[in-house]
Amino acid sequence: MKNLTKAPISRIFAVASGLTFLATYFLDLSSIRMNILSWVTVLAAAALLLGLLNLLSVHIKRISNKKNVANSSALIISMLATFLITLFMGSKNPTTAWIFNNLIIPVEASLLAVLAVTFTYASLKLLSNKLNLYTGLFLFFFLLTLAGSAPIFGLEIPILQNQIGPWVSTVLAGAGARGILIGVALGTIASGIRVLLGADQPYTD
Amino acid sequence: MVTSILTSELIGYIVASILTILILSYTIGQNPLYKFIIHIFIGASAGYAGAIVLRDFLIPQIANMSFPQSIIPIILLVLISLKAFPQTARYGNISSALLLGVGTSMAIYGAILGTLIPFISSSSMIFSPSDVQQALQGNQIEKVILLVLQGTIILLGIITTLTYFQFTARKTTSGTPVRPKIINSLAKLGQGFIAITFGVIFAGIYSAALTAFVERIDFFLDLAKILQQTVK
Amino acid sequence: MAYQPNSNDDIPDWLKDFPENSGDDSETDPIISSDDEKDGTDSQEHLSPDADMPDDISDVNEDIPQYSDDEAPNWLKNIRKLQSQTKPPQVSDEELDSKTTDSHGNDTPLIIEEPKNPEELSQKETDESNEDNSSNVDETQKTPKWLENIRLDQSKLPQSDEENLINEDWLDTVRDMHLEETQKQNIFKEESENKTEEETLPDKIESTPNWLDQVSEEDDTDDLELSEDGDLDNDMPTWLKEIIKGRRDEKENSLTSDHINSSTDDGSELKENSEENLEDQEKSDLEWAEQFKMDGINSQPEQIHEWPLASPEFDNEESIQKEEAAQIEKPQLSEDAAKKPLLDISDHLPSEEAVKKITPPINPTQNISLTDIQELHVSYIFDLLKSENAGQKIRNLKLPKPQRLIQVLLTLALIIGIIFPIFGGSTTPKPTSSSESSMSFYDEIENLSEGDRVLVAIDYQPGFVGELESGAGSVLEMVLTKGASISFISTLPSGPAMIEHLVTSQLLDQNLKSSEEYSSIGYIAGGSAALLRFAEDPQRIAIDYFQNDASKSQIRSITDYSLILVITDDLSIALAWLEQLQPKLIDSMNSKNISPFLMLTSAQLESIMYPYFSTYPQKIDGYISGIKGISQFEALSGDSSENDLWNGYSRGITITILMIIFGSAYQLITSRFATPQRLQDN
Repeated sequence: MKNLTKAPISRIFAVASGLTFLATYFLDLSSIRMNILSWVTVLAAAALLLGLLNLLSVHIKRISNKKNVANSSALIISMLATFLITLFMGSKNPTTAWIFNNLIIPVEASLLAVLAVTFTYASLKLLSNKLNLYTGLFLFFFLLTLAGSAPIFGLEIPILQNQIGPWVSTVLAGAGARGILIGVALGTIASGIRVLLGADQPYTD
Repeated sequence: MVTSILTSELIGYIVASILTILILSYTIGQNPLYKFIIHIFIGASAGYAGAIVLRDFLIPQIANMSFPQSIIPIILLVLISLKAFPQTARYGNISSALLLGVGTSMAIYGAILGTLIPFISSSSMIFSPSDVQQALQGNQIEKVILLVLQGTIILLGIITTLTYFQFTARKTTSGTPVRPKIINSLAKLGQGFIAITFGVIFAGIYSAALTAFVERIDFFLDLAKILQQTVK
Repeated sequence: MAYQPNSNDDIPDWLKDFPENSGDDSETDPIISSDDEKDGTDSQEHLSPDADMPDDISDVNEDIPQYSDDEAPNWLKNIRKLQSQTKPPQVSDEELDSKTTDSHGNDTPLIIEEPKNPEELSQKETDESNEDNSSNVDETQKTPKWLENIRLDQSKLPQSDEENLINEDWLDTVRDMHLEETQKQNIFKEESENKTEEETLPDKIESTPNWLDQVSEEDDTDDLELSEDGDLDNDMPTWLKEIIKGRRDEKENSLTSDHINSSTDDGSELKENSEENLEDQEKSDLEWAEQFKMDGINSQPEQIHEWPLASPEFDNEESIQKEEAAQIEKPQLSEDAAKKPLLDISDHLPSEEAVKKITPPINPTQNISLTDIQELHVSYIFDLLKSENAGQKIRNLKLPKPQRLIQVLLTLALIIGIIFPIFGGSTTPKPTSSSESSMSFYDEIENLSEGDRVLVAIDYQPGFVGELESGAGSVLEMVLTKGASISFISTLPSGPAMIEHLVTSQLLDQNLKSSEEYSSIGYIAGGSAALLRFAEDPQRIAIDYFQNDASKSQIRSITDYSLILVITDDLSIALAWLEQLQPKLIDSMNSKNISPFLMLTSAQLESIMYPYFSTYPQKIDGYISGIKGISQFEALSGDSSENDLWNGYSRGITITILMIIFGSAYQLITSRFATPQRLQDN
């Protein structure tokens, strides 16, 4: 009973807006749907800005507490500088493009590149850490798919790259992927209905 | 002007190469420089995203709203902005509730219309009936067997994978919940399909990471070429 | 078969001093079946299963009230079932009629039998010793796990009630209920708007057996008043004092904590009148403790082992009279024994039923005694709740030396393996055959004609530049050669910059005229909602873009685009496009897409996208994934230029496969022959 009395206004808003929006699909009320969507998109943008404000406040607090001062200062300076430059000059401005092309892209691409090394190491340790049928299946098909994705030693092996590799990706993995996708869809519906019924309140603090 | 652009490009290359090396230094463990660069990167990414959201979307959207239409979004914006302060954060729940309620409805609608119905309605196509018919007409028995076998594997994969996610179990006399034997066997087979699927997906992620690694090496080769040209 | 306890740490002092064996349990055991006496039936028939048990277990069971076959827990029923094979069952018709099942079809104990008289119990003891032990093996197989564990591990004494709790599954319900209640109360103190006991408690009570409800009711109603002149501290055993002292400490702590001061809701009176409640609580503790004294136990410490009787369940005149009669016949104990009341019954452990009686009446507003394990679990939950609001501290991840070394070697191997062949001038052939999805993708691009508008979504993170940008460049180059114009859009904030990067690095060679051949709608915020809004009314979400150009204002719906191409690395973004926007493309006449819907994805999404491609009608008209798909597309479009990424990727894959195969084999072999110390080091 207590759960139902928690944040009643928010709950009413969530349930009412959710059901109204769902009804617009079936009753073909596209104008209402469009209005709600315009509110939601604006709110989503504002929520993103709030997230940034939160990040800023966390690091300001860290500096005031003298924790990781250098790193937090670097974050705040780079954040404010990029924000102001992009806000007043736009994304096509050379300075903005320079920051993006020489800071954001290289760092993010390098982070992804590091994954190649750590994944290789993890794969090396996989069997010795946990040796069972499923680990074996996982590693075998991992290597098979990799081998089927490009020529080995510069040589194309047609049966591997043109037959076995695609068959594994589409039939074996495709079957599992279908099951997972259906499971995800069912899970989405189930958890969504809980929100629409007011049983779950992910919107409360 | 041309010189200045070239110079800024060269500086950009050098900065990017230094950042790349520092990030790759993570392979020998986390170090202060790596952490410092990560903080700068997060700050720059967040600042860029915030500016784009504000400049390219939020301001034009609000500016283009006529007076009566803009009342509700502005109220909602004011409410959600109250979430920035702990004392007033609870009032922002109303806007969050709207966001979540609509998002949930969209997710339900999308899952039904975008995934469930297409997959269920095309389940008869798993056995490729047109291909089987063609093969039968051409007396290609081997192909028919292959298609049926393939269809069976796909069907089995879907059923067993879904079975794996069925966690309902009956309580035995000893009190421990146990799944029925058939369900358990199917779930184990499903676990095998999931292992294969994840193996293939992991190969895809590895492939993307390796491509990024190769791209970074290419970047250094390009830098070497530019430096060579600059020296000349 | 008697216990040889070697670990008495948790036993109260007075219990530790018990002699190893005692044969007079039965004489003093107050559990006497009055029904049996009345009916003239032999109680040993009911008790005979104990004969097959070790003595210590028998003693435990003696303290548990005897149930009829139908009311007993499953493990007990199994034992009785076995017994019934040799002896005819003595269950009366009434008992049979009283059989009940719970909602799950499990038998539940309902009525606790009346205690048996001491003569019968002593007879039972004699019979037990004469019982044939041949059936013990079967008994062991049928006994519950907890019982087997006791038999197997004789060195472990189940001296505390928590062990009994673990073993008795039907009593777990009782304990769980207590634990849940306590947890809920504490949570109330922290969060004023959490679930109340009114919500959960009735459910729990409903799920408990009827006999337990009965006990609860009796506990609530039959509380005795605290004797004013009773010097409880002197009369109480040490363990009892410790429990009460512990509770007092707990309450004092809880009062000083912040939780108690937090705002409250209904159902948490503790917070509002904490001081008052503390007094009530203490009084309650004293009340139930005093109950022993009122029964005359405190005045005669040697009889304290009869404390199960102090509970209201056994508080009937008949049983007390019989108990008194038994006490008269009981031999006098030594002075030492008088101080330590359970001295005469070795291996006597408080049965679960008896332990239950110690606990205060079930009352949601009062604390209950918790075992160490339960307290540990409670602390876990509180830690979890606290950590939910606390920020995550970034760990200073220091990799172990061997891992660092191996990772450096792997990095060097990859770099050398990728760079070295470049100087040798070796190239990798492009794929000679293409997948069905790649061919469909190519065909759709090939079908474009001059003047067509193509919507291209740049929805990948900057990190995927290497994998997706070169592919996007190849595809868009072909689109431009067909004379079609491109409109870029993104649902990621980094999208506008990625669009600029793509155009600058890949398409400038095509002498793009921005205003005619390519334009950028830019970033649309809101993810799925933005996509749905764009699909239904593009002009309202990208107002500036459409207002400034008359030719663009012709686009009123998503189907006005000739082709939609989504470039992404993210499954959730891909699903958002597929689930929100793609349904708007479907032609109601033939269920096919009005405008072809294509995807260029990272390699990780290949097997996820295939099910959408293989549906009928197709949700995706074609897709290419990863560097392999891009190479296939380039091969199809006749692009014979060397692709550095493809060359490097092919070499990288070869090295990776070799490293993983040999590395795994090495790791397996070394781990097989490794000493435990080395394994620990690793």
